[in-house]
Amino acid sequence: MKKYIIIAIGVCVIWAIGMTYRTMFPPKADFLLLEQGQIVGDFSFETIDGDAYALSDFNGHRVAVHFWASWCPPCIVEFPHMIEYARNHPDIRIIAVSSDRTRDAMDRFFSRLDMKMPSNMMMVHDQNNHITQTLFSVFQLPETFMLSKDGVLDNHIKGPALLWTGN
Amino acid sequence: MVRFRNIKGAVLTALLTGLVMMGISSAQAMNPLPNVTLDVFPSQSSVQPGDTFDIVIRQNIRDNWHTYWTNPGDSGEPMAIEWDIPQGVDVGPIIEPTPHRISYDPLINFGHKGQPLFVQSITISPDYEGSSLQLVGQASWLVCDEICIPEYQDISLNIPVNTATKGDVINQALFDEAYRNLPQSTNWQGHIQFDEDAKTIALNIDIPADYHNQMTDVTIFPYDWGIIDPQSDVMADIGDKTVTFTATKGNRDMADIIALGTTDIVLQTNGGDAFIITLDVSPVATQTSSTGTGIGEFIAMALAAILGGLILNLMPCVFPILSMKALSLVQLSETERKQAVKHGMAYSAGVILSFAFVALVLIILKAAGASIGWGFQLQNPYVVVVLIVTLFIIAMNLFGFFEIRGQFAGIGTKLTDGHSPKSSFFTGVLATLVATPCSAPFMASAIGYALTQSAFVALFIFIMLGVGLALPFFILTIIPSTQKLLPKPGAWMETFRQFLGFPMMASAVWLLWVLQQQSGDVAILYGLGLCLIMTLILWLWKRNIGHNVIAGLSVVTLILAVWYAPLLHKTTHINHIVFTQETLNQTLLDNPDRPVFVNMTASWCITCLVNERTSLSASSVKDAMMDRNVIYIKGDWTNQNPEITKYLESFGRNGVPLYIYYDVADKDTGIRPQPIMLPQILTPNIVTNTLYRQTTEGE
Repeated sequence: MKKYIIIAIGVCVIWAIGMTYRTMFPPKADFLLLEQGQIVGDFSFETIDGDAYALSDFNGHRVAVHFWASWCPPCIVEFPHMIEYARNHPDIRIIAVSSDRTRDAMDRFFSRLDMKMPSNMMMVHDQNNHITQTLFSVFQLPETFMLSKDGVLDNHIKGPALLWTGN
Repeated sequence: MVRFRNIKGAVLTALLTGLVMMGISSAQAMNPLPNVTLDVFPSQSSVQPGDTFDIVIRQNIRDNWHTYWTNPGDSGEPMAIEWDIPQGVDVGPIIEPTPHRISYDPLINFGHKGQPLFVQSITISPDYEGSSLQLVGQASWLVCDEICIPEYQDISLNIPVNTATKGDVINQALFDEAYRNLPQSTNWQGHIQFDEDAKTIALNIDIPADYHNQMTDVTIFPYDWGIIDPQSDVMADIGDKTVTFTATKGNRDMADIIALGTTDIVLQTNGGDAFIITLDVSPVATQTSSTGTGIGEFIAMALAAILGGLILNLMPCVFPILSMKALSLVQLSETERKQAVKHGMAYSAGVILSFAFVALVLIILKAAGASIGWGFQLQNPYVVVVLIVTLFIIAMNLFGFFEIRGQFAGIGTKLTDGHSPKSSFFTGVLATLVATPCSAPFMASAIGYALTQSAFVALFIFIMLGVGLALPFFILTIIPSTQKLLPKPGAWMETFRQFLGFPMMASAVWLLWVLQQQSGDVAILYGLGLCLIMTLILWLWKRNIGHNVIAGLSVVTLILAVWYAPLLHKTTHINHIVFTQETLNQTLLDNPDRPVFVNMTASWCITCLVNERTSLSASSVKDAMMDRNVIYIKGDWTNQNPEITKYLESFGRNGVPLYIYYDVADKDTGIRPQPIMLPQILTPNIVTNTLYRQTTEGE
């Protein structure tokens, strides 16, 4: 009996160490099998303004991870609606990940757009498609992943997201 | 043991299944079927060294999807092919068929549908030794419908090399079709002109008369992005030889477009024929210069610039400096007078070079696409702060709070106080610096003219302004007899000098107010704080307190000034009715039965403020405005505002004030008469007469 207790405690200790380790060093995200209802793994990114974030920084907020590029007409038609949506929903965090080849192309689009970005939108230039293709398996644009406050994938929208316009 | 093996087996099975599943899912994550496939066709069955031959690359695009042309229009990306080229082989650029306009509301894109045929030419050098020509490459393109997918395909070409005989022509029908769909090259001459407001673009092309009847309804595809707005309609004006097409300018900076030198377009006629035309890009906003009165206007403006510069001497910020400089001549002895010429020359050089410098800054900023006019320097609060402190220190010097001996400024000291003409040169620079907040009559029109001309003319006009400013002192030094016009030296000079500190200080006070308008109340604290610390530093210096203390305090002041500089960041002031071009257009459209009065002003524009106090706020004007039911729109140019700059330019002005009156629309036609531009200096009568004149005439 004593033996089992020791084994049980041992398992608990190992589990606790494991959990602590996992919390301290989260596993590298691999989203190739991302499905609705799954918790989306953590990943870090840098905005075009040079601010570094991780997805986990936005725990407690709804998050939209949006994939777009300035060369993609449906994306740029959708973009102003997304900005408007972010402005009207200050609780949401939108990570807008661009597959543009150059920063110049992004900037040219922004200057043409001529809209002030709300602070809850983060612009990311994913030049080598690490987030877009490796982590999220996005090979067509636009696509949007809607995450709940707990980081669970609620909705995966391929093509323009009608939710921005309330449809 | 058996059990253990089973567990191991189960784990292995599970792992393998997992891996296979992952593999399947990964494959599913990739798009399974491409929306475009490519085929490559050569024009010959075999090639000889030294041959040049064409290949056709055919895109087979899925129904309802499209790919993009060289210039994709509002968005998109053209196809790219990276060939792995063997030695001795050269591959030319991809020549694309004439594109289609593809609408994706609200965007217009230029692209291809169906099975477009792209042509590329390949050259083999005469000393090519291989028995076959093998080319492999990777093509990448973007294909869109409701979504966009970047796609790739490896392509290859393998043709035998036959040194003995020429290869047979193959795929004739396909190549005929491909060439038919390419736009035809022409040697038609043409050039692009930009409208003054940089909103419209005119393409003047010499087109043979045979084609003129096809030019009424054309589509233009520019090879370079941002020159013509893809959404724009094209209007054709067919002359004897030249056809002028007007369209809306694209969103690329003018300077960027001009830097291209030439640009190609595809002109597709109403009959479907398409032509490639190379156009020169004119470097100047041409509507004024081509229709302007040329040399006469140039001379008139050069004279206006000299006159403006002369009057500038009387402005409160410049007058004290000139006066002290002039009075220093009075105190010269006979022998010293010979030196005076040198000082006059140095002073003039200082002034003229400074003006040339200001001109260069303006020209460069203008070429870089900035919308600026005179007064641009005061739109920057940092420049205003520097001017405030400079004027303040000069005023303190004139008051006699401290003396500068042997230093470069030498405002109130004798010319020959042991310093060189260098000091006079810097007095000239200083005079220009303190002159920058001021604007004199004639100056505005000269600068307005200069900024619409070529860089060379603009530079010349600015130099003429400098000549005007430098002229009085220069004449005093070069013609000694004119010095007799100066009053005799005496004790009054010190009184006069101290008095001159007041206009100087007044200029500083005024600029402080400009600063407050620009950057809010806290900027006053910043400006006055700097002045206070400067006073402390000067006092310490005057009391001969250690140089280290002064140097230390100066460094600390500099650091603090930079640290707190964000206090000067712009704040937006929302006036009761704020001008934007859109508001104005909408107001004019929505209220055809009400006159509209536009006032373009800036808080650093004294004339504007005087007009507002004396005329626009006059009770007679207010009553007239009420009576005529005028809509009053005000544009504030205190800070930079390209929209206002463009509006000013549309009336041939480059600075404020500008008053424009739009009378009510004609009841029958619904069209408003031409807007009336009021003079820059208003009286209540001028305004009321304008408000009532049209009605009286109309009735």
